[in-house]
Amino acid sequence: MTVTAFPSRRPFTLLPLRYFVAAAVAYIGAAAGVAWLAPELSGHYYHPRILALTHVLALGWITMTIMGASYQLVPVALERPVWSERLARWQFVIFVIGVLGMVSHFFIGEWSGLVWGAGVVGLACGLHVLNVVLSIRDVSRWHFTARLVVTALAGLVLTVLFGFALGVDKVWKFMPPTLFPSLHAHVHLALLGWVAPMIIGVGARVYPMFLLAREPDGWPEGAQFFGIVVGVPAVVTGLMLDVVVVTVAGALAVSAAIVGHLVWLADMARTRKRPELDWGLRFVLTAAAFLPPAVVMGLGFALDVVEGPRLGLAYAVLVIGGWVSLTIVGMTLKIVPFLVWYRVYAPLAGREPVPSLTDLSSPWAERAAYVLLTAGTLALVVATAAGNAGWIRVSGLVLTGGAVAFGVAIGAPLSRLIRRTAVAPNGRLLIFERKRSA
Amino acid sequence: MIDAKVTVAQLLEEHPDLLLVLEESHPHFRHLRNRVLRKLMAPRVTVARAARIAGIEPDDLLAKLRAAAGEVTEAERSGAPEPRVAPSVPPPTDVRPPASLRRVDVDVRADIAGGVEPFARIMAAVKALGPDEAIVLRVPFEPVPLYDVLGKRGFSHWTEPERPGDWSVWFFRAAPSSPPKPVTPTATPSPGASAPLDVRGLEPPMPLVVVLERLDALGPDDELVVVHDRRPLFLYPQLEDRGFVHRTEEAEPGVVRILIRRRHESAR
Repeated sequence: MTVTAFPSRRPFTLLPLRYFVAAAVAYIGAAAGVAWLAPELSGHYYHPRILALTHVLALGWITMTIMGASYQLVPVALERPVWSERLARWQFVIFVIGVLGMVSHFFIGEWSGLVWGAGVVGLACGLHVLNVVLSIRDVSRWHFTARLVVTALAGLVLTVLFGFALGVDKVWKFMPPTLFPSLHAHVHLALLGWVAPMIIGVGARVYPMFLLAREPDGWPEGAQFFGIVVGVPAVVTGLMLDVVVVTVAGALAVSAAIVGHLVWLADMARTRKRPELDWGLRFVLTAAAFLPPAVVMGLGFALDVVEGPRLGLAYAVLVIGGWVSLTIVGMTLKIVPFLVWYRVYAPLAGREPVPSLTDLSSPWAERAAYVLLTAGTLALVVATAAGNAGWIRVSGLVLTGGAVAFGVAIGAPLSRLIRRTAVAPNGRLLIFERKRSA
Repeated sequence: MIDAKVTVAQLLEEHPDLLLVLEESHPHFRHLRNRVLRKLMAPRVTVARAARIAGIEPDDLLAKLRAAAGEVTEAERSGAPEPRVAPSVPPPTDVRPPASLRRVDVDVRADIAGGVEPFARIMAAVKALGPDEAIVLRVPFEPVPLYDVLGKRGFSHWTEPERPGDWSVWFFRAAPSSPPKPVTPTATPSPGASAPLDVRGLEPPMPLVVVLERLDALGPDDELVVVHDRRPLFLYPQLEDRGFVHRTEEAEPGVVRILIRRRHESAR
């Protein structure tokens, strides 16, 4: 038995919320960008504006959310306080500047400016990695989540270096002349080496908490961990060097990791004690349904059974728009109300009536976001595969509606930072302005 | 060995099959199949109390449970008569509410049916209750553990079964002639404060709410033991802000015990 007088550094609340708000703005912008750039999206994906759109999603939405969530979930999942709030605040500012610089220069196709933007993004990512590594350096047990978080941080560092090298290569040529293998390797390194281990690792600890399910265990743990640490380097190396057998071997290992993740998720959903799922959890489970077709398409590309830019774009939509984005939307709908509740109501809990998390949410906005984002993503998969600009625009408009509804859904709890509420005995909410503390 | 002081939660954790025996003993125990009711009731109700809730003799229920679990008592081995189970807790006060009280209805039946823990909502209503008001709680079972919780806060209750699976329970402040007994400093922890508070399996932020709700009742020398499935980093600052000290023990992976006491002036 270990006994500790545990360090009780106050968890951050406003800091992660900044990241979530900035990420939501990027998501709404990216959804609108899909409608706006429909003609470009109906053609080949290697287009400066599509690269700009991709980086709004990858950096502004996905990475921004993961970084913000890390500052809330690392203390929960790894039981360690975050090392430095000041560093995280500076990192946020630097990251926003870097992403704006990168996206704007991608959009106008100005590569030297892109390199500067990428350098600033790289600095911000380095500061994030430093902060998280210093936070978890004395974790007592290197369990599944801790190991995958470290794997993801390594993936982030490599992705940033790879991307920076691709940017520098635009100005001073030094990489092999064949662009697409490097581009595909960069995309897969980002998604499988940074995003996937973070979602899978943190999900293993957080999903049981929200589903009220037992902690997962068994063979899927090894399948997921080794599938990623063996499979991702193989996929990236195979793609870069154009060695099909290595790519296929890596793709099979990653597929095993995904199967392990799905088995765990199904087990948690089956053994959950929570009878009714809220919209956040419905998003997470629906997002997982995008994984099987994505795995099939990924294996198809690795085996050269599937090919072509349109299907490549549809594959990206399945993974980025389907699994990753819908998972992030679901987790954000869980995390943001909690952070607001903790900041506003935790000091009052036990002393006076406080609302529940459900009272802070906006069910109609969450429902609208669920319907529109799920339908819009499915429609966009079909539309990009067909290469039909009209359908892509309609899908983009549906997605924009869903993203705005998502913004409203997280805006509802955020509004409690200025309006405090209490529960009356009859169950109705009493709302009154917060007094400004001196 | 199963005895009268074992909680239903402990009983079913060690012998899940005994749920069938409980159900056969009295239909009331079918409520334990409801996950929320089981989570709410089972850790707070001993076997002896459960028998009384169901209106059967504690000894009869104990005998059935032991037989089904294959346990043989010392008394059975030696042939000597086993001592009868003595009431471990006084019967709850059950007096009619004064007619002058204004009723405040709190209906948690939909919450429980939807899998939502109603404890925080009930306690919020209790805290907001005016001096001339009474809570009328509508629940799908008799909320016996709540009698103790609110009894310690000076509330009497009056229970009216409406129909099977539907109860109305009035909670109102005891008459001025019998004010609630003030908490006095004592060297030994009170039974209520020393009972471990198991918050495993509750969705955030309920573990934090449930623990903070319990702090007011903690005496100067009492210790609250919280059983959690992780180190609650969001709870610690709240405890310190309220003048409590805490210590965390990791009994085994996935189970931690947080020991919480009031901070003594000399320790500041």
